[in-house]
Amino acid sequence: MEKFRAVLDLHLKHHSALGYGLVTLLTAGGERIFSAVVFQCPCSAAWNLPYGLVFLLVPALALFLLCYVLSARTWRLLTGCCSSARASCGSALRALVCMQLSAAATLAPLTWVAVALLGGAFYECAASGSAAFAQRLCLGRDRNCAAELPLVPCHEAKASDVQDLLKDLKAQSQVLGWILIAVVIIILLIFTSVIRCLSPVSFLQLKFWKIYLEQEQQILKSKATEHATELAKENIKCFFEGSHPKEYNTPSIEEWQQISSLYTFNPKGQYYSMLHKYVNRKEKTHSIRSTEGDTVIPVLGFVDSSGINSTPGL
Amino acid sequence: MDAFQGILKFFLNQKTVIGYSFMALLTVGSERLFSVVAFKCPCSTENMTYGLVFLFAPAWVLLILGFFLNNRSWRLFTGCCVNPRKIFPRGHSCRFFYVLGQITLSSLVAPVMWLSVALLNGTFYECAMSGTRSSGLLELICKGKPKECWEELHKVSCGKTSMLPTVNEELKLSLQAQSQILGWCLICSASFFSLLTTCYARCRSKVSYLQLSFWKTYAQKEKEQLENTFLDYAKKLSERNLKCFFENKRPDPFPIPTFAAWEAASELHSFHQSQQHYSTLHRVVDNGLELSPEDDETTMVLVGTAHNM
Repeated sequence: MEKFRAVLDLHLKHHSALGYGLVTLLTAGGERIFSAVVFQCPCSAAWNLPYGLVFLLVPALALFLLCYVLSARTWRLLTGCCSSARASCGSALRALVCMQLSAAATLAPLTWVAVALLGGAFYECAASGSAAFAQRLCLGRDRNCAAELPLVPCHEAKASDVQDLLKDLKAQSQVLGWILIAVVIIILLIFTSVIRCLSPVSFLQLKFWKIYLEQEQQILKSKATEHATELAKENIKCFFEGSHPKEYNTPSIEEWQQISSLYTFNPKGQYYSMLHKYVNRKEKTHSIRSTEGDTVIPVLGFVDSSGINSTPGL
Repeated sequence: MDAFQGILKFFLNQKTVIGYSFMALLTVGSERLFSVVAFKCPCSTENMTYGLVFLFAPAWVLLILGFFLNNRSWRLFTGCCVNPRKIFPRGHSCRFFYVLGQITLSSLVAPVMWLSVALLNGTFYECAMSGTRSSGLLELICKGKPKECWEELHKVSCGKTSMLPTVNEELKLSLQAQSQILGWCLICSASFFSLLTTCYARCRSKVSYLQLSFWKTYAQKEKEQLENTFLDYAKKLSERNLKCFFENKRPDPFPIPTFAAWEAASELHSFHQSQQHYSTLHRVVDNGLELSPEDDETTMVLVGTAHNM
């Protein structure tokens, strides 16, 4: 049992590293399956380019949208947006959060494109169907080279030196894939360093903050379950007995709305979540909606990712 | 059962060795995977680009990953734009570069492992060298070989040159041999360099050998205790908040450190002979951080102990 706990602790400590590793493995596995089972290059001049591009780019788009759906921050941003009671929909804060969400969602599609380029099959098919590529690759070769190029991915080209172009295409694809990985990873490092640099919160406090949010999420879930169970029991009992329910102290709509809004950081108050801010407000009826000095800090994006049922953001 | 516990304890004590061996195994495994699955020399004029990209891009990725996974780099960078004094303290401006250098050196281990394994294999170097267009290198490689060597060297990896198969094989083997020699030289020089730097660092150490061992143990224990205490306090604080939210009550005061205390505790540690503090937290607690309670939350008032008496 202790060994299991040790493994779990390791998982909690390096959560994001393990998460990213898992995403990469899944994408690599998915790409292998796609190119081995599903992908069959049509080997025709008209269809190679669109076929190859669709297989390369459509799963990337699907992953991009999936990342949006799986992030709890999206739902916190969108829930209740259209109702007329919440007038703060078009504010700059929401736009900033939207940009951060989009930036985080581009990681999985880029991983897919990089792995697909390293595999080589999609690029080979697409490039062999492109007239511009045919011109460049066929310089100084057979006259039929441009006509036979689309047949190259199916190993059906008659001239052997045209068939050899397949190796060139695969090499180009893999070099492009590696360059993409190298560029993406250095941009990620620079981005993360700048975000951490601009953080008004120190290193240890950030660590404590993440742990606090996990605990708050767990306890919120158990307390909400407890509260809901009691309330449900009371209601059902009174329904069947035809009696009146006793006064139950449950938070009102405004209170829930206040703690569900996007987290803003104020240097004057040290609050670790909207719940913390709400509970510590100065007067009983005071709203915590917006005060002087509230800002959205990129490094504190993980605060919005917590909820009752959501998985912690990658 | 006892023997099992003993073996487990032995392995847990050798964490660094196990960590590095695991990293080495992983590098060897992925290098095998690469050369069998993904790497196919194109045997054209693009050989050099292809070979070099396959050699150096994974090394680059491993270097950046090393930076990401190193806790010290985040400790160094967090909040540095907001308060530059934190990383360039008065009189110690070079500390930032010194720490950055240390982080870079420890991140260089994985790329060097990858490069040595890839060079020992030989396929990547062979592909890259056979695509060279520099006349000096071509002369070196093609010395004493038929003149087709100069034009068709890039086809050597696929065996499709117009030369005799024995000549082809000879060229391939000589390129692989060069690669392996380079690989061994890299391993030797890297190990020698790391030995030199460790000796130099130990030489310049201000503390003795036993105190250094104690220091390492203390740092490890403090890290564990810190995480446990974080968990504890986080639990209590969130329980208090949620209770007040659901029951619609005013919260009781809860002591937590302020910004200033957190900032002071997050600084990079430097050892002073006169004071003998084993970590930043030790120094902060010993020196005593007097904080004025201005918020609703009661702040922790840390009063110096033996230092002030």
